[in-house]
Amino acid sequence: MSNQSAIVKYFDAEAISKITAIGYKPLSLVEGNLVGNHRSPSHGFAVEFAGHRQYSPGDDIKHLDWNAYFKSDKYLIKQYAMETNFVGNILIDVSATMGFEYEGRRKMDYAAFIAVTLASCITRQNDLVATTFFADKVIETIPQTGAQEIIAKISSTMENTEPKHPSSFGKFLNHIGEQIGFRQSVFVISDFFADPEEIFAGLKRLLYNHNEVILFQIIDPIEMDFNVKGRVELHGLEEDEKLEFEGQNIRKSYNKIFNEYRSYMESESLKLGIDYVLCDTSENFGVTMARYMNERVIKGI
Amino acid sequence: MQFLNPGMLWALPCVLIPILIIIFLKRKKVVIHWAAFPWMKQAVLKKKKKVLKENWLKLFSKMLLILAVILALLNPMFKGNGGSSNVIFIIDNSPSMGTIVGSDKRLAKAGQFVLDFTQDHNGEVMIYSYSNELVQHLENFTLSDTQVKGAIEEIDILPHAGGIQGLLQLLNPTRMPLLNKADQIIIISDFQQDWYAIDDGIKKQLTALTSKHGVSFVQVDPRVDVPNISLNSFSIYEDGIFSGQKSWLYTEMENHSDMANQNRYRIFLGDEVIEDLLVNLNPREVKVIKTPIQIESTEWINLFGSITSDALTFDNRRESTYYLKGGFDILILQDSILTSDTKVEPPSLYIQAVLKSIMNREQVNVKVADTYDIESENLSNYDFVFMIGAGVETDTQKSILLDYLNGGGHVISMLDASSERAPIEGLYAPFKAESQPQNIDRQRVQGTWLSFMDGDDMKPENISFKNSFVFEPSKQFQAMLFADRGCIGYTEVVDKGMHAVCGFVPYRKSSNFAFNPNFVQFLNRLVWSIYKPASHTEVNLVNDFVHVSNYNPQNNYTLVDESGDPLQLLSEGLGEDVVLKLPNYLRAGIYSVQENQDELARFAVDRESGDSNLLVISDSDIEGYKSIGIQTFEVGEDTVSNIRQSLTWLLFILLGLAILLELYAHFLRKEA
Repeated sequence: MSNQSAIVKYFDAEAISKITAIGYKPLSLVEGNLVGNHRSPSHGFAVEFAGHRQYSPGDDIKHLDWNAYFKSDKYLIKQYAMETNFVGNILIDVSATMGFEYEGRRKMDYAAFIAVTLASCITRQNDLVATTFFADKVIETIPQTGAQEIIAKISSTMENTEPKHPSSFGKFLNHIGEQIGFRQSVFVISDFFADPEEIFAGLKRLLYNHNEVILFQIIDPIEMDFNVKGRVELHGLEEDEKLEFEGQNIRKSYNKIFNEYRSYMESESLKLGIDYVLCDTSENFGVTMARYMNERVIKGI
Repeated sequence: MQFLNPGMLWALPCVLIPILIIIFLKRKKVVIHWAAFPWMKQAVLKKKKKVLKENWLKLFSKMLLILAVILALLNPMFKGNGGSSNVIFIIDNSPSMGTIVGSDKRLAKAGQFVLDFTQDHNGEVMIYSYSNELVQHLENFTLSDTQVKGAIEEIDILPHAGGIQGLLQLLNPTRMPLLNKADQIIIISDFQQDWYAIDDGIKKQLTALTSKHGVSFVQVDPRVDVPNISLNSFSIYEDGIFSGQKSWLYTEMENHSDMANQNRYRIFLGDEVIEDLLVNLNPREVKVIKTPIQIESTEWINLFGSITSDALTFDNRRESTYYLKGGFDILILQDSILTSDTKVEPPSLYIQAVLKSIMNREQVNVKVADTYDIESENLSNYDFVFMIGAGVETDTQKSILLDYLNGGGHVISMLDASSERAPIEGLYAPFKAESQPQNIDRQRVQGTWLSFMDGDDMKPENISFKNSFVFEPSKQFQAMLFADRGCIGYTEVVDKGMHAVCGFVPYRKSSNFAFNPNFVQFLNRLVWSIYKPASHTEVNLVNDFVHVSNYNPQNNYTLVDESGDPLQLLSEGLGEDVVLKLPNYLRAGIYSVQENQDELARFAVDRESGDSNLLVISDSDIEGYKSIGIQTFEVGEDTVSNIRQSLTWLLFILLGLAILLELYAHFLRKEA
């Protein structure tokens, strides 16, 4: 029952069907355990011809290309491209800042919708999904699976997790970098409210392992444009501090500082070949995701 | 620094309004649990100093703006140091300035003010006195105390009234060659007459004057010092005697009850009041006391006498007395039974007493006769005939009365309303409630007659004797009215040759109605109504006319003053319209108009016109002056150095400062 209700909460059938239709294809080579639809870095003997290589002793002679031998008088072995499946690692930030809610919009909910939709899309194309919920440490892990059940698990976990831990991207990304391994897709869903240097240092570790990294930065519009008038008292979600000021006095200055940070996130991602997706919580997540997926399709062509 | 409008000092706390708003807004704040805290903290820390500075600047600018507005309303002034400005003093030396207040005359106080002022003054001083002419005493002078003192001592009271209108006409460069050089004009007066009644014309003139010079009014002995007249002193009108009709004076006091609270009064003893006194109160004479007035006690005003000196005492008084013109010959026909009744005083005694209290004793010639003596009396010798408990009984008596009525005579019938002796028809019948005669609608009659003299209905305002009590057959209009009021029965009776009744007064035989104020008032009104056209002098008319009935060009008409000196009267007009014209100027006094040495009329001429009002400066008056840029001061507080100058520049500085602060705050905001 709980799974069903969780599905009901974060399961948006319309968005999922749209995203599944577009589909997710890794832009780089992936290494999976099973034969799948995605190009593998390994060469095998399958359907699609990939090229020739010199015969070396021990090779099965049945793979010799005799036609080539007669033309070039060389022993050449025929090679074919190998196709495999991939593992999509969804890393979901459940730190305290993700609990931010303004005018009924909660970042955690937005993140949950994205995660569920992604997981649904990937599993439907017979690929695997592994999910990790993190803050300053790993809070919860759902092992990789190709079953649709993972949707319910993600939804249920998101619903039941209270965002109370502080963020620590550096520590977590180093840890997860070791766990994930090579040539996989890594989706990081977070507001990335931490030191950007630390974040990118961690992400570089993932990139080093030839992983494809996609960042979903979830930000409320009020965080981008502090349009609050009158006297404001701010309490830090991760800090035990409060600030008091006139909203209109701070707006300009804050907007400038915050957008500088966000621009840095965007430009640094571009520089490292990381996909950066800005998710405005006032916008429907399905629209945001579809836009991104379409961009990928175009990029893939 | 002083303020012309110190009442606005109460508004000073308004300066704190911006602070209160901030405190209020601080209490009202939005609490948000914020995710992007580090960036916000960074922004706040970065902006904090600037915002704080900007906020303080904005706060100060707002407070300064409010302060500037309040100061503008306060109209701040600072004490002048005398400087080297040229000052023209105009000292009022009209008679009212001769009033002794304390040990000094007002004029002396005015002089002292000038002396004090000139002590520290380096500029040129001109001193003028003014009552109705401008007299120069000191001009263009290098000052020494002795010279100023000498000039001031020259100024003496002149027997003319002063007034602003006259003064403004004189204030021109033709009469005052150095007027254009004057920085300041200081007018010192008690501002007693007409000074506070600024009409549009005067206002324009004053405004023109203030646009060129600083004008200050220095008031000596302001009228706020006039001792109290409490409303209780007029309680005579409240105890029922005059219930329903308040005198002019009482009304005046009521109208100015706000002033009463401040010990300020306006008492007008001008023409209108005298007229009012004569018509409404009907004293046998009215003494009009011209200002200056010092009210020292709070006695009652004697209703039927003059305004006596017991009630008001006057300093430097000038009196005018108004008398009835001519006199009254009255016949009282009284039933012999009443005369012979030893148990009660005969009504004729009361009537005489009352009439003589109304008029001068000498002016009232009363004859009491028996009812049956009508035939032996020449009724035409009498101005009116009282018939007490009497009616006509024979055709001869009837025709005599009718002739008298047709000749313009007046009959007032008085009837003992409680009498059981009322005959079946005639005089008594209509007035007896129990036996109403046929054809008479008592209800309709009720409104026009006085049921009982001591009854509650007998109120002065219910008396409409002109139309109902005084039957003058020669005047059709009044006769008609008389009939309309349901008194047809009387005329029918007259036609039958039984009685001639024109007006009646029912009374209770047993009551001493001479002391009944209603009756007194009734007679007052009756007498003055009948004789009003020639009853008393017109006030202050020097171009008076004397109407003489039966003017005979063969006769010698003269005007005789108190000392017996005759003055010639000129006749104007023809036939019945002939009037005798009085000389254009008559000195104050009592005059009589004589025809071949027989007195036709007697009247008084007021000594002087004007200067008769006791006016008290009111706040609105002061506001009126302020609005046209005139400063008013009172001698006695901090007088000399109180000629102050406006601090308008201070307002501009404050406003400029506020604007600069606001601009700087704006700049800071922009920079941030």
